Amino acid sequence: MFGYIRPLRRYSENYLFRAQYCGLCKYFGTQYGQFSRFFLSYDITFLALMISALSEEPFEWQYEHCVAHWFSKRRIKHPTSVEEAVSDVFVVLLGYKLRDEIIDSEGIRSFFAKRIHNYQLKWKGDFSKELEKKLKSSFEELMEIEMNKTPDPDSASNLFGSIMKTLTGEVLMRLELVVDEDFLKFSELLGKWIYLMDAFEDLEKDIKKWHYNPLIFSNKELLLEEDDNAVIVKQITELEKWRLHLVVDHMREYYDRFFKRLGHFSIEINGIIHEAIPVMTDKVLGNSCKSDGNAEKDG
Amino acid sequence: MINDPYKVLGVEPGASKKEIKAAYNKMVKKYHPDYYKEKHMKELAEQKMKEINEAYDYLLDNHQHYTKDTGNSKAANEGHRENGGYTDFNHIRRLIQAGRFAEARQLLMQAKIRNAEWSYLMGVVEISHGNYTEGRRLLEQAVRLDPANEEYQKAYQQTMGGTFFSRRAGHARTDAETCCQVCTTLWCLDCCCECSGGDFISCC
Repeated sequence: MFGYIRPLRRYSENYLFRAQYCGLCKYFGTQYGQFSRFFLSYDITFLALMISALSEEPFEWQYEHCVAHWFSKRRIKHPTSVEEAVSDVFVVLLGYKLRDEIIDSEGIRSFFAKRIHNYQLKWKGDFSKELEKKLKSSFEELMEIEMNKTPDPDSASNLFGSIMKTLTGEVLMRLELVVDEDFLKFSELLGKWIYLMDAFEDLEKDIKKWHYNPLIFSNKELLLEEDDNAVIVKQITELEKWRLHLVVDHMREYYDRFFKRLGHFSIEINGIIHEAIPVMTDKVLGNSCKSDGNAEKDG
Repeated sequence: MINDPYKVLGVEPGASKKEIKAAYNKMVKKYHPDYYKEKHMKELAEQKMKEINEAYDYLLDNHQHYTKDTGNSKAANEGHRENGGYTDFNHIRRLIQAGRFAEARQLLMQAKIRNAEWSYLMGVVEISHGNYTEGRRLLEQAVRLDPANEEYQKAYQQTMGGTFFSRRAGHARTDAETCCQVCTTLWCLDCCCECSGGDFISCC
C-alpha cells in the first residue's frame, strides 16, 4: 500500500476510506488477477471516493473476509460503475509506473517490472487502450523531460497534473457525469502535488543513485558545492518547500468552489482535504514527525 | 528564462557592466566543468555553466534598462509613458479577479510596457496557471522594480508562505460577506431583545 492521500486515524473518514480501498482492492483482484491488488494506491482510492461523491450513484456496503483479514469481516463498498471506470484508469497509470521502474531500477526490480508490464497488457480493456492512445504523447513528453534532466520542477509536475486531469475527465465522460471544470482543475493540481511529494520523498535516494529529480537539477549549485547528501537534502527541502505549500493552497481554492456539489462523503472528503493533506505534506517535508502516528496504517 | 539572472550571477539589480563581468568570471572559475572529475558532476556543471552564460547574455543585452550607468532600475518602470504604448492594467486586473487568466496573459503579452505592475500581474497569472517558478521570478522582479509597493511585497510573501490563494479568496470575500454578517447579527440581536421586552437598536 502506497500513496500520499490517507485520512487521519481519529476521524470517521478512516472507516469510509478503508471501505472504499477494500472495495477497489477486491474488484481489482476479480478483474485483473490477485497480483494487481499490490499496486492499488491510496491516491487512486481517493480519486474513486471523490468521483463517487460527485456521481451520487447508489451503492451498498458489504461485510467480507479477504486474504489480508482472515478472522474479522471488513466493511467494503460494493463496486459500482465508478469503480469499473477508475480501475481502467488505474491500469493506464500502472503501465506508466512500470515503465518508469524499468528505466530507473536495475537487476531484479527491473526484471520483475518488465514481466508485470508485459502481463499487464492482457488486463487492458478498450477504454484503457483508448486512454493510453490519448495520453501517449503526454507520457512521451514526460519521459523526454526526465531524459533531458529539465531543471524546472513545474515542467514535469504540470505535465503529470495534466495527465491526471485528462484521466479524470475521461472517467467523468464515461460515467455520463457533468464535466465540472473546477473539479478537473482540482484533479490537475492533485497530480502536481503527488508528483512533487514523490520528488521530495525521493530526494536522498535520487541523489545517491543519480536519478532524475527536478528539485535536484534546479538546485545544482548545492550539489557542486556540498559533499554531504544529508545537508544537500535539508537545504533543497528548505529552499523548495514553498512550492508544495503553494500547491496545497491552490488545490484548496478549487476544492472550495465545488465541494458543495459533493453528495455523500462530503464531510469525510473535507477532512482529508483540509487536515490529512497538510499533515502528509508536512510529514514528507520532515516538519511534523509526530503526525506519523496519526496517519492511518491501513491494510 | 527560468531563473532570475541576477540571482544566477549573484549581482545586485542595477549592477554596472564591469560588476556583471566580474561576477561572471568568478562564476566561471567556480563552476567550470573541467574542475569536476565524476561524470555526473561534470554534466551538472555543464548545465550550470549554460545557465550562467544565459544569465550573462541576458543582463548584457538588457543592460541599458537596469543599470547604474543610465540612472537606475526605475527607468524601466517609467518606460510606460515614454513608449506611448498605453495598457489598461485595470482591465487586466478585472480579468484576473474573474479567473480569466488566459485572456489576461494574452493582453499582458501584447503590452509593450514591462514595468513593475506588468511583472506583478504576469506573476499572478503564471502562478494561477501552476507555473510557480516563473511566477515567483516575476513577483521578485515587481518588488525589485518598485520596493515601496505593499501589494507586490504581500503577493511575494504569500507565495513563499503558501497562502497566496487562500488570502486572495479571503480578501475577495471579506468586504461583502463581513458587512452582511454584521447586519444579520445586529438584526437578530434586536429581534431577540424585542421578544424579551427590551430593545437593542431603538430606531428599528
